[in-house]
Amino acid sequence: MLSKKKIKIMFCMADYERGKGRQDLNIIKFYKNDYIRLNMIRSLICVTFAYILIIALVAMYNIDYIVKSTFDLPYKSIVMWIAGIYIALLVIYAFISIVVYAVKYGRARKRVKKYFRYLQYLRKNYQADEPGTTEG
Amino acid sequence: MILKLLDFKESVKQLYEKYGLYVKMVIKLITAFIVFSIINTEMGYNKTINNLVIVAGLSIISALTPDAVFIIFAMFFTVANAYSISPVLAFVIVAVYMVIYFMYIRFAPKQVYAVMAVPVLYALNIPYAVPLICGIFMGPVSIISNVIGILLYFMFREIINAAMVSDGSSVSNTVNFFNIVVDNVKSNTYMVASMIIFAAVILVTYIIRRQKIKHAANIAILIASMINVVSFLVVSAFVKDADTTFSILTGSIAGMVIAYIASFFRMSLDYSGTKHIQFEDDEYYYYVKAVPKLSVSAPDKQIKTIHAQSPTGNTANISEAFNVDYNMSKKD
Repeated sequence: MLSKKKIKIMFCMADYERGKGRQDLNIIKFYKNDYIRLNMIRSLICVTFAYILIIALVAMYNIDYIVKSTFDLPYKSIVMWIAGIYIALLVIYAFISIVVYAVKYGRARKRVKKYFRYLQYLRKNYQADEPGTTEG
Repeated sequence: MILKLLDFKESVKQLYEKYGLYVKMVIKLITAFIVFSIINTEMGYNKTINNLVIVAGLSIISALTPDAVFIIFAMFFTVANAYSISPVLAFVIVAVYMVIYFMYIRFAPKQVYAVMAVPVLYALNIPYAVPLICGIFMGPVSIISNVIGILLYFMFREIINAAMVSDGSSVSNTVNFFNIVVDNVKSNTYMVASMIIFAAVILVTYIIRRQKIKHAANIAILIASMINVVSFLVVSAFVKDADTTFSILTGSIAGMVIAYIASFFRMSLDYSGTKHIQFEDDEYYYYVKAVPKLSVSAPDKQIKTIHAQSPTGNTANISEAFNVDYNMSKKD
């Protein structure tokens, strides 16, 4: 039989599945730590790309100086600086990733919990509707 | 006046609820057309894309596809125009976009709109609306978006200025061109001052908006706008290449008005009006059309015309009682 409450809940669930739910269910299929670690690795790869691009731009800007004094450049200190900044960037972005993705996971989990509560409710309702069926 | 405005707001909301999908499409179409036209008007070095048919075509595609496509097209317009000046410059712009994406937008994808809005509205002389709206709707994170937006605007401005004096025909010229642009951006104190003022405006708007006082958002916009005007006027007095007093004043007033309108029509950004959803269970297929209820009913106007009447002796009617008092006082 058609029930207004059931239709309302099913509508909310279908709407959620179609929108944010798809994303949330993708997030929630990981354990929290795995999800954060995976995204942290992705972020660090992205930061590495970005850093390479920044170095390329800086090198392009100083191309005249680099060409003129190729043999006189203090390569050791340049490499030290580049590595130092890179490590600092990795540490900063690792921290940012942990915070951002932990919050994201927490929010997704909250929504999915509500979704599963609705699912549970619907299951109980359908079981109650079926004659001769007992819960469990 | 306020009632009329609220009525107007309700009718706009009603229209949006009924035709949300189409309204969004039209808004996107107009926005895309304006943005692409601005890029072509300001840069306009590539004759192939500086064409009304291409601009209109890409605007229509942007309106019918997800927002990311519109942003990619806008980036494509800037890169294609820069490529016509020098391929090295196009590479630099692509690299800058990638760095912005990898280091910032990846973590806060919605901030891309704020980043884009700053240079576009700078071209229309209303950039001051952006920090106010960011302070009201987004929060302190948007300071980074505004700073990046300002940097992009001044980078493009320097590219346009440098393109006037250089043809970028040889490799050495293109590298020099890049150096000129970077040097000019680096030495631009007005840009740094703008970044600081925008950041202050966002913070002030955000802090006041969060206070538990009546009309907090309106007060926030007013105070932040005043800070904006005073700061930019002071900066323009000391820094060369600053905007004129007239453009600061008109831009700030326009920005304030836009921020008030945005705050007045504040709606949830993921609001989507009427929804059509299909689902099924063991017994039925459901085709549900959900129409949102209106929070306030449509204007129910009751016009009362009060005529002067001679008293009938029955003062139960309040209007007649007033007439009696009025006549008595006249006799006195």
